Amino acid sequence: MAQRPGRVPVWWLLAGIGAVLVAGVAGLAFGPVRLPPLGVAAETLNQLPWVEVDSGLSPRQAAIVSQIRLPRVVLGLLVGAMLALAGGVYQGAFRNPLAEPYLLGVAAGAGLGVTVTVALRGQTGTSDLPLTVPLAAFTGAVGAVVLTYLLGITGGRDRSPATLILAGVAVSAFLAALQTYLLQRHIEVIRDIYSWLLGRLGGATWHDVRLLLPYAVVVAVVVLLLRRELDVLSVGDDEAASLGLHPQRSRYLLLATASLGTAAAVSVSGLIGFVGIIVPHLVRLLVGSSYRAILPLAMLFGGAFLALADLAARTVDAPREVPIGVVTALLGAPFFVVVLRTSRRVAV
Amino acid sequence: MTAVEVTGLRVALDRVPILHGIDLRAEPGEWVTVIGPNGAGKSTLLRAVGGVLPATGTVRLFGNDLARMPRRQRARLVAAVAQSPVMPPGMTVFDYVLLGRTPHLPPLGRESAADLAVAGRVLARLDLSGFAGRQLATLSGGERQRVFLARALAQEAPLLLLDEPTTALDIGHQQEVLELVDELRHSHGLTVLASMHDLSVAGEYADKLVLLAGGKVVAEGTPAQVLTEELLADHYGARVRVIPGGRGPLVVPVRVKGEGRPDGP
Repeated sequence: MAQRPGRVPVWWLLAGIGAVLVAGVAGLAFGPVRLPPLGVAAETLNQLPWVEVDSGLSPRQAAIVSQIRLPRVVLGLLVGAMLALAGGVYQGAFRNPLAEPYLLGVAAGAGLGVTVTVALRGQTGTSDLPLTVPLAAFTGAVGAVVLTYLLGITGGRDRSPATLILAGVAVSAFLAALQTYLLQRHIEVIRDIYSWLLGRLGGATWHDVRLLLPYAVVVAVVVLLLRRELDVLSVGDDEAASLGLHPQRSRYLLLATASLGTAAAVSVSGLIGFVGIIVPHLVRLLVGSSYRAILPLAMLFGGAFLALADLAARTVDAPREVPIGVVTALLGAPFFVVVLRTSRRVAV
Repeated sequence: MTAVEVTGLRVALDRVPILHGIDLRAEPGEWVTVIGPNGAGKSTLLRAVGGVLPATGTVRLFGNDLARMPRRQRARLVAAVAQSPVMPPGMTVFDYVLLGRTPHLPPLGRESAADLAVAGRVLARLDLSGFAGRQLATLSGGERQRVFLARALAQEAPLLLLDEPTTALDIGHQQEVLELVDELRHSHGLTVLASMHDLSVAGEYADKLVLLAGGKVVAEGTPAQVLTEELLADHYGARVRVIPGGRGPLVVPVRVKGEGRPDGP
């Protein structure tokens, strides 16, 4: 009975770390070029400062590990962790098991940002997206979320979380309309844009990792420090206020932080759906309803999940790649239905 | 020192004025119940006293000005049970009650062994120890009401606000919950400010009744002073007979024969 709700069960913590390691090693070892797993592990250790081991890999193999697969795996872990963490925060802050970062317009904003950049660049003949794409996606995503918040605040004195969701729906619809208009006018870039919209970790570099890492660290620290407030928010706004919390302020701070993490993740990986729903839910089934246990585990399992999904994306149809957003959606959509059914049962 | 001292309290929701200058006092250890017809502003009054609604006028709790109190300090003085609180899906009774310790934790801190002990004691006191690991959604109405009460008691605040604590309960469970509150009031020296619909029950348990109508206090005093046929006819539009009871008077609705049914038998 004296079990503290804030404590992350040790076994699940170890399982989460194990899942990250397994996903990491698998992601490094498998691919178009088969590499010896031990050599891969040694070469990975070599990436750490002050570590020097003989991996027995040829320089070309070593380069595949350190310059191609490792940044991709690390980026997958980071993006997955961010999306799962943000999903958990959204579900807690909105007291809605179906909430996801994309509800507040993150996806629509990022999509519009990328469309504007690519469309303005026009047709260049190269299939590479310009380097400004992450910046444009980030700006669009953050801009859309800010717009949603402003609309949500001025939307009247109704303080229910639903107001913010409705504001997000309105902003998303508006931005999607702008995006459609731009795509119509610049039909030649539609392919580039869709390859980004469907999400991709292919071609990930250490530059992408360096871009995302500072945001990921800040977001994770802030959210994990505030995670008890999500538990308090779950009992209702009036109750949270009478327990000494500033519910609206806590909610907005948590949502803004989670949205920042999502925007940063989306800007390097494109739109990858459903991670934010699948992972927090599975973790909730494992450890119960306290966000203090859910969020740290969601980061670990989210990272592992996305790294494995990426492995599937690049191996099932090798040497071609399936967009990772397609993989997560194929897994996620049926899962979403299951969540819908069970959460309705709880509500009755 | 007065436990609750409300002076000239005005509250507007969505610019619609709900309370028009309320004055109300409760002494420490007293049980004051607010009664009044639907829409009179009972819940609004309780929420404003709990500090969760913006209001003008002054509310002083144990001598402290509510408007100037930091939220956490306020939460250590006043605990509230709303009319139908949110039940977080999947949360266990123990975790829920433990959330009542929030105002006692350091910011960003976690529960100490002492906080766990308080939650355990409250559960034992309310005969809920066997329910500690159960999920809220699996409890019956009476059990839930006790759990909501337990969370408020875990706050260890000297003032308890109860917004219609027995509305969803049958008469046996109503009495059980209210007896429990009364015992706790005496053993912990709590002040209770409640709102209630059932007038006989309200009169039975309160030291003082405050009759609210149209956002104003129209009568206050002992149950016998407030529960009169004239006042209830004026403000509820109700025809009742008031019979002397054990503690408070009993209010019995009476039907005037044939009224509203011209062709009645």
